[in-house]
Amino acid sequence: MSTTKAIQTKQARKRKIKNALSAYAFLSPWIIGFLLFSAYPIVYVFTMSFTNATMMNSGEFVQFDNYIKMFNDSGFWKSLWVTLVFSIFSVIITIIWAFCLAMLLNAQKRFNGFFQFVYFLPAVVPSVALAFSFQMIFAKDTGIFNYMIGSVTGSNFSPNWLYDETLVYPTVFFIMLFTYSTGQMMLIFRSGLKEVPRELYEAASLDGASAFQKFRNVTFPSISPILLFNTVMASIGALNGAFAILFPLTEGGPNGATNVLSLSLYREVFLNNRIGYGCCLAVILFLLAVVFASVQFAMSKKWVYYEN
Amino acid sequence: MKIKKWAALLLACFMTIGTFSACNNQGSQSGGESGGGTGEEIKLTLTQWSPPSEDDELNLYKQFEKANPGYKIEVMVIAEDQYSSTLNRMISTNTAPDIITAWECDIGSFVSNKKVICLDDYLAKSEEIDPEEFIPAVKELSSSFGGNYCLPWGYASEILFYNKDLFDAAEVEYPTNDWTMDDFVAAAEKLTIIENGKVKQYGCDTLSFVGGYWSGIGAAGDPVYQDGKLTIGEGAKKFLTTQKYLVDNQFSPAPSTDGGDLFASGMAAMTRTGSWFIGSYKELEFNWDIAPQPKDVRFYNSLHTGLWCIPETTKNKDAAWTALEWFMSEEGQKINSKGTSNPSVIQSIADQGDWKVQGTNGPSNWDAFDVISESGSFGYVCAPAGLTGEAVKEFEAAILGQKSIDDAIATVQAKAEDFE
Repeated sequence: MSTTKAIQTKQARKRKIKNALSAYAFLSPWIIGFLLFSAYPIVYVFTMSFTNATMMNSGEFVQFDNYIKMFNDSGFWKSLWVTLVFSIFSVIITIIWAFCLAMLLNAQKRFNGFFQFVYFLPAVVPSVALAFSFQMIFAKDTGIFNYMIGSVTGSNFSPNWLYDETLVYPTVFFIMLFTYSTGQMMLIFRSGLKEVPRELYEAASLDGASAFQKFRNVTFPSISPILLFNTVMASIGALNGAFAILFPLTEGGPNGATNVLSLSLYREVFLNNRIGYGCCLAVILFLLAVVFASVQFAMSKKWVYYEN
Repeated sequence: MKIKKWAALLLACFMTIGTFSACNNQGSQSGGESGGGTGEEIKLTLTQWSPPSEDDELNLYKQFEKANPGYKIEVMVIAEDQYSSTLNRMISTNTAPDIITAWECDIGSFVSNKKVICLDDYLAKSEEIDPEEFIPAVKELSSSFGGNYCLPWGYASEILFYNKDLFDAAEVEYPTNDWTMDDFVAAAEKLTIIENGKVKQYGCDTLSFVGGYWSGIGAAGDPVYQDGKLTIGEGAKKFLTTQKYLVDNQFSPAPSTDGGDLFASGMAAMTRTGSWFIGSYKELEFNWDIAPQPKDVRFYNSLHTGLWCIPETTKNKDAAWTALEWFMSEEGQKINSKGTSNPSVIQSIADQGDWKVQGTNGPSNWDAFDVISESGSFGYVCAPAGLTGEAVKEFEAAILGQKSIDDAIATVQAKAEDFE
């Protein structure tokens, strides 16, 4: 009896190992891809940040010199501050905009596909093309927007939208509403809103809930996991993807007002040929993304509702 | 079920192997085939940031192939915004083509890291090229490297364009080849038309091309680029003060994202931009001409070029030199001058004037280029592009009053120190 049990246990263990091996074999393309193209570059960037490497040579180990130089540079602190402000505001603004559009689409009964197409259309324009288009729209002397203001008001009011330290932020945030990331978030919100059970709204209506109460107690909890997903993706997108919009649009100006870390990083690595110092900035950007995501996940425990 | 499972496992294995094989593209990007044997075609690869002329008669490489049967040149066009970084990557990974057209900001690093070969031995034997005939700026560049490591394909510079019709209307005398900055400011003032508080016509356009700042700063007395370092000071202060004066009084538009060309549209009477605009302005409907950038304490012009060099790793060094020698020969330079509208760096060839692309209504003052070739220097273009780009952002902030001129200059000086 005991021999049979021992054989069965052995077979079960064998099956378990076989299953585990199969699972790892199936996962291996992803694991290898992750190790080669994500984990290794991350570790390599950390290593390079302690060198004075350039494109031409791998440099020498300079200990914390790059970090000391970076922390002593007032430009770095300004850039860090700009990155934080830009990321936080752009996430908030684009999330609200994408959500409002998704709500509008959800409420729309007729020509739904048409409106979805129209709302999403600007999002499929490549970021750089989008940035150049808006650069022309918001130009001071030859821009269409200032021309329209002049035509409508008859005044000589022609702001320098992208070269004025005060106006540049609202202008850039407005442009961010038309990026691919915002359009994608709108579609994700829309699919989430579609999945909210109708009967919950019906039950809330029977209980006499107002539109706001329905939103607060039905819509919001139902889509909160999607909201978390979009917020995390938008934060990482704002940290890394801001470059694609800001480089052609402002190049970090005016007076460094939009000089986010990804722009400094690009400049150091590809224009100044200082790989070691650029990696140092990349490490800070990476840590910033980790902090952003960690805070969001930690806070999500308080407001994200999971059915299971 | 079991078959499905094994099939899926097999697929996963193929994907894994595929991942590795996709990484291994060694060899496919190496710098051309050596060919070289008798009767075999010698293929040379070459990088450039703009496509060669579509007109075969003006296509330097097609004409080289025609003049040198058995040679084939394959041009690799790399987008301008990625050109420098791609070239650096190719050089550092030993995958550079047989001939590279390097930028001034990269050549110093290529030379100091021994990534390109010295051409002095070839030049000593050459009957086509005499380095003594190069314009002073090229001699100076070679002397800073301690030898000839590169050959410039021609040169361009910043230049002053002016609308003769608007000058006539305002009864202002045309710029001359010895115009000073004071003359320029006085003319800009007279040429500006403001009606009901709105500018109808600017005296001069803003400095839309960054090189204009450096030429102005150099003319005001700063060395700009000295001993391998960006060097500015009092000259920059003087030049930026003038620029701010022009903007504050609306004689010039403020720096902005305006993509429109105010000069070409007749809204600005003068503009200081690249000489390559001569070709673009060929069809302008108004009468126009050119002059050297205004002199201040001296004439100073930033020169721009592409520098042909041979990477150390190429297997086709002799063949690459054959091509370079032909490119720099009278025949090659004349074709290049016609195709690009840029004068040759070899003075005797430039003097023949093949680069002069005459438009319908201008220009006529080609003598302006004599001043440019004498006073031209590979200045700011030798400094890292990120540093000079950031510096211009500082200058713009000072002109817009977002920071003081002194602060802007101090910031640039501090950054420049960091690159010593």
